[in-house]
Amino acid sequence: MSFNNNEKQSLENDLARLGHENDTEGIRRFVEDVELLGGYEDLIAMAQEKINEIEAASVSAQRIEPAVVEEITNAGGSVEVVDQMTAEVDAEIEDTEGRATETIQHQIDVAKKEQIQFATLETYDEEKEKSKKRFSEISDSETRLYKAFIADDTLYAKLQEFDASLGATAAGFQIQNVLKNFLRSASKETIVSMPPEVQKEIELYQLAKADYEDSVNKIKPIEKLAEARNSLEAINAVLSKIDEMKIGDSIYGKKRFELNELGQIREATETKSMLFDQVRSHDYSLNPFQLESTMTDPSNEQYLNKILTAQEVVTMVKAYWTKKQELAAEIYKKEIDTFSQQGI
Amino acid sequence: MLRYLSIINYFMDIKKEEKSIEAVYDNALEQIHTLKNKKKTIIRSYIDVLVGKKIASIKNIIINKFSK
Repeated sequence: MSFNNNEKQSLENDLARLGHENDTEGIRRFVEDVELLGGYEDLIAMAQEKINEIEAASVSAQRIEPAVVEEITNAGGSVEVVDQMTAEVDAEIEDTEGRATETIQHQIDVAKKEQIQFATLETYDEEKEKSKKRFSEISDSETRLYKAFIADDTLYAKLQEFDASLGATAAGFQIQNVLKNFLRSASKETIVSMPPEVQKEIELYQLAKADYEDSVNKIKPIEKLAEARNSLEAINAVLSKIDEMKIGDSIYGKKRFELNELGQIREATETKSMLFDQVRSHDYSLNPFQLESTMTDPSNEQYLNKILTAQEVVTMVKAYWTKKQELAAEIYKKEIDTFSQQGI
Repeated sequence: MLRYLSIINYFMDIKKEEKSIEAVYDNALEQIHTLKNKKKTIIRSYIDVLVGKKIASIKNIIINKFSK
């Protein structure tokens, strides 16, 4: 597959670069990474071998040995009769082979999918970084182009001053934006009539733009898959932070809060805001509304009208994020399937 | 790469997959082996019946020949 060749090439380049930089730590990490990727290849090869062996065993089980055929014929019987007598067993053998190879083939497909997906996501991350960098390069290039167009430092400074006085809310009226817009979409005729320095900057700007668009086009097909992956990662991070959370009396004291008959949080004590502050201060990406919806979730009915301990609240928060994790994992898997079906 | 590792662990434990493939493989081979023996038994009993019939027929020929 050409993708694998690209991946191999990219790995070889990485190794060459690390060697050139004498980055032993980097090489060590590289080896770990390659080993990790290699795990799939070994698995796929091993599984394929098992399928072949099962198929061979099945064929040999269904075939009647020539010596036995001779024995049957000598005894006055016929192979056709034997075939009829053993048709049921043969079908069973075929069925066993079919089921086993199907199961193993499924494992191979999963492994292949994972292999492609991780390598692809890695490419995505690199390309995303590149596109960010290229975007800021465009902005720098635009500024250089604008400066070359004005071609006068004093005038440039005055115009900047004027633009600043307009403020961000009037950005559309700022001279630099109006001119940048004009330069961006200048026709060929207009460009050739400009001074050579400006023409050169326009050319550089167009190159930077093409590079940026190239990056964007490369990541576009993987965007959804990467978003699903990022979302799952973020949720996993929240869950591990919740696990690290110390919820002993030392943090919460003995304060409690409760839900009323409508499932809303009742400020029985000041604990509610304390907990929210605690959650916020740990950057759990959890706002009070989310927490409230967790607590008023019908599946959490058992908590209604109950005084809750900090531990119970954390358990609920965790349940909420676990549900989100399941959902995100499902979306991620779906995206992998869609991505794999589209082909690489 | 650590981030990938965490997801790999989340979705798929390679060693577990290998074990699962090994288990499917072992089980399939064992079943095929058992079915092969079953088939051998069927063929053997068919041959035994044929041979039995042949012996009976020869026996009849001999008896008929010597009883006259």
